[in-house]
Amino acid sequence: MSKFLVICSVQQELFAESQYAELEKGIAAVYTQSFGLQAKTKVMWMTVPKGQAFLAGKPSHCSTIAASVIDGLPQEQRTAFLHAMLRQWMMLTNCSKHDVIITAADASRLKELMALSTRRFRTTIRPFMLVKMLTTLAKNKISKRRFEISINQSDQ
Amino acid sequence: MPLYTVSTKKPVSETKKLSIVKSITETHCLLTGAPANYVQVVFAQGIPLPRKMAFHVLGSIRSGRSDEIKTKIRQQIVTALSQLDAKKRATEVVIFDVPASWVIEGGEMMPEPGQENLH
Repeated sequence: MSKFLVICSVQQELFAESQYAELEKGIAAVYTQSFGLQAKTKVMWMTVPKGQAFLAGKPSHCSTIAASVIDGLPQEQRTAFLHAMLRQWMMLTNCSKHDVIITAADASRLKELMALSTRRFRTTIRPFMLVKMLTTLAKNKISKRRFEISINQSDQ
Repeated sequence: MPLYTVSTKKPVSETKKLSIVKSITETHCLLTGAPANYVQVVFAQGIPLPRKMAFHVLGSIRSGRSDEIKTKIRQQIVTALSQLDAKKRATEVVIFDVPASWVIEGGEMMPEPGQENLH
């Protein structure tokens, strides 16, 4: 595997600018501690404007992390990794355990989910949308020093 | 988990948003027996959906639900959301299974479907 993809869906403006870099470093540290020094990560931030997320029927600012792991990772390692990620996230954001949901997904399964997500786009403009999303990610990597995209395509 | 992402072309009014959240949360809880505090609904706006589609719902749910339950979830969400679109355009609901053992929520590993009371 080249790099482990980690998609962090977070409420827009929930974190200070400086926290993103700290979180990326913290996530990378958990991967190397869990899977060895060769485990590199690519973190993608998906921002969700306030008022667009709900939990138990009420507005929520809960962060959702989809962290890819090697396919078929033994459960014991997966569980340990999830707890390590949770501890790291809570420490760096000072949030409670109820403010974050983390999935340690097989890399191939996460890829499937992303493919499903792009299938909602109108077929004729799907290639254009993919280029637009990649361009936004690249632009933000330059201007904000992180791969970031809004959940709203109209905000790109 | 579950996480339902509701995509629309244009922003949805607050009233309609709350109605969609209520429909999805109630449908999921009623059909699966899962507690409401697990159900997440997130909205994505400005999505170029197919021309005759008003809503697209991608639901990531815990593995282990029967095909019958998943079909009912899809049907009931389609029915509920279709009533909210004056132009009577289509609603598509896609269900994606995720093993409970892959998820940590509220500081605990997610229980398998039906094992919630043991946690």
